Amino acid sequence: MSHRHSSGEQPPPPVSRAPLYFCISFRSPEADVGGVAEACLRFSPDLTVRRGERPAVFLEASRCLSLFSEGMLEMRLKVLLREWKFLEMDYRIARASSLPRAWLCAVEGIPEKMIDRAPIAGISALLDPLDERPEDARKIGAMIEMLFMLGVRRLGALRKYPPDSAVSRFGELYSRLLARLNEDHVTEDFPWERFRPTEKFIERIDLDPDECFSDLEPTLFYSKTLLDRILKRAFGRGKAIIALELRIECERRRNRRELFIRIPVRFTFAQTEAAMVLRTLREKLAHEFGRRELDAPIAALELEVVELSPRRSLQSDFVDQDQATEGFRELVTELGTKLEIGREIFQAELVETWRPEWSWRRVLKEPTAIPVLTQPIPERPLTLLNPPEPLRRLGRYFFHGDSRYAIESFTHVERLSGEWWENDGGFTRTYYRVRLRSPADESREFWIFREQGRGGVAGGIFLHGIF
Amino acid sequence: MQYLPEIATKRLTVDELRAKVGAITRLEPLPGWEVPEHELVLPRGALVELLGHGSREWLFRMFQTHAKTRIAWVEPKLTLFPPAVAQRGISLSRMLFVETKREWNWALAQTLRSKLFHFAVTPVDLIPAKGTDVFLRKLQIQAERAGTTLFFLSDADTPFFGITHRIRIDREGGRPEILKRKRG
Repeated sequence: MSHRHSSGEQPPPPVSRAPLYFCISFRSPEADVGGVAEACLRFSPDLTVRRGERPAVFLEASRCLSLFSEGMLEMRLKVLLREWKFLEMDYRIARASSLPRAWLCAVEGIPEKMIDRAPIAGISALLDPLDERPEDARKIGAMIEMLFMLGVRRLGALRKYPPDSAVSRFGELYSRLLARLNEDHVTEDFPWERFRPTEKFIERIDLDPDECFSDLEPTLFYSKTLLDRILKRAFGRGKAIIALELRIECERRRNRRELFIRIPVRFTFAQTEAAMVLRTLREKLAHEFGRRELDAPIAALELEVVELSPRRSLQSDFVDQDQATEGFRELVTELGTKLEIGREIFQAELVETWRPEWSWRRVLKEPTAIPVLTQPIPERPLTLLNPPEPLRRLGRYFFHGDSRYAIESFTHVERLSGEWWENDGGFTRTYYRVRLRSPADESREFWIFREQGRGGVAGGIFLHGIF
Repeated sequence: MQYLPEIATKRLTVDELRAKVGAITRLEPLPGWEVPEHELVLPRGALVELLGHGSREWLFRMFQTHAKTRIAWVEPKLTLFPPAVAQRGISLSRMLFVETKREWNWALAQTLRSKLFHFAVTPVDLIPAKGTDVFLRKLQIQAERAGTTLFFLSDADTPFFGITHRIRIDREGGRPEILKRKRG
């Protein structure tokens, strides 16, 4: 029956549905979440994936409830998973009113109404459901440990604690936890990136049986042809290569080909230059060919781009005269052939923490992605000893090993303490900038701290830096 | 095609051609790095050995002066404290760190070859004892091509002939004392 509004009557406001999240969590890290997520797009475009050790697909289904009931949707998901040869024991499907809660239900295998009975370790599922905040992992671990020590065993027990004191103790993480735990006021405070299916670029060469070979150089020669095609296709689409895979097929028996070598290559920065990609490919191929001999001639080569990224410098190179951005990526890729990226090649990023030796971390990003410092930093020495070296004091002298240093002056007294939630129980240090005269009669300023002994850690005076 | 006749009729006299050639700016080498406080200019592409306790502070004062430069810091074990660098007003986005002992010389050469960095800093201790001159000469060629000034941090005076400049800064805020200047 049609219903018509009178001219003065306002149309009814659009119905806002309560969010409903389905979570399909897989037991195996190798599960093809990308494929399942792509197939789930038929139900709703609002979906995201979790990768890593515990992969999962999250589907926000409130908008498709006019097509399917909740039970029907779950059944359809199960049918779909059967197509991927998943048995019922290989996955769990959970539904809840928010993404973090859905993940917790899937991990613990409980319905949403029983979240209060979930063990306290479920805090990490609520606070970092997509495993995207490694920087919080330590704090979350410490929070769980501390709550466990306080006798909290189940998530529901958190409601008994006065929130104000707990928030002041655990900080912003705890207030976020409470917001996600409260079923009555489910807030969509968790941002997630919508899943986009990966485009596949595949190039293949089937070799003439008369031209078959099994050496490195001809393989590279043909790989270069494939690579050039792939890069040109990527360039045309404004993309750059992050990861690719070279597959080599051999003809072991007549008319029967078998995949012999699969060489995955992943780059730290998106690549657009064939020379750089080929150099890495050569290293990998040389390693594979050196490791084992091909027992049959190569019949086909296939190159697939596994991951692409937007080619940011598509236009900017016209104005970037020294091509610094592209050059930086090339240098890192080049150095990465022998050194470990992120550990041996890195940039430094400041971390907001009191302990001086933890106040920076190794990262590798585009140079422009390193944040510029806006807050002032107290005076710090350019050379830091890690770990700090113990000193002995006797009257007006410090002894460092066998050397004796005369104390000339103490300045810049600074007291640093905190991080009691860390496993070592935190620290309390009093730092001094001390001018010392060495046995060779040279005067120099050092950064020295005094720390009280606690637990199993010995206290004393330590040399931490040299100005 | 319509432009071709115009080009053909446009003939320049020898004087006009000379004037045009003269108008082209001569390709001068880029100026060196000025150290304003001490009226010192360090050439690009030089190998500079820095001695003395004040060398690091002096170096970072110079990096602060030349704010748009990029710096490569190559050490076998990192001793530099990055928050101290940020505290001295140098953006950490300008710096790339390479921490390696086994591939030190290769990494240093690659860093210079990339022509990305205006400065590179490394300790002097890892210069090989055998074939030092050849090694330093190779580095100097790379540094000159890239226009990178390569600083060697040193505790004691070294006998290496290939190092073009040797500067001692004895204390923080101290005046640099030039011990060696190979060119000019």
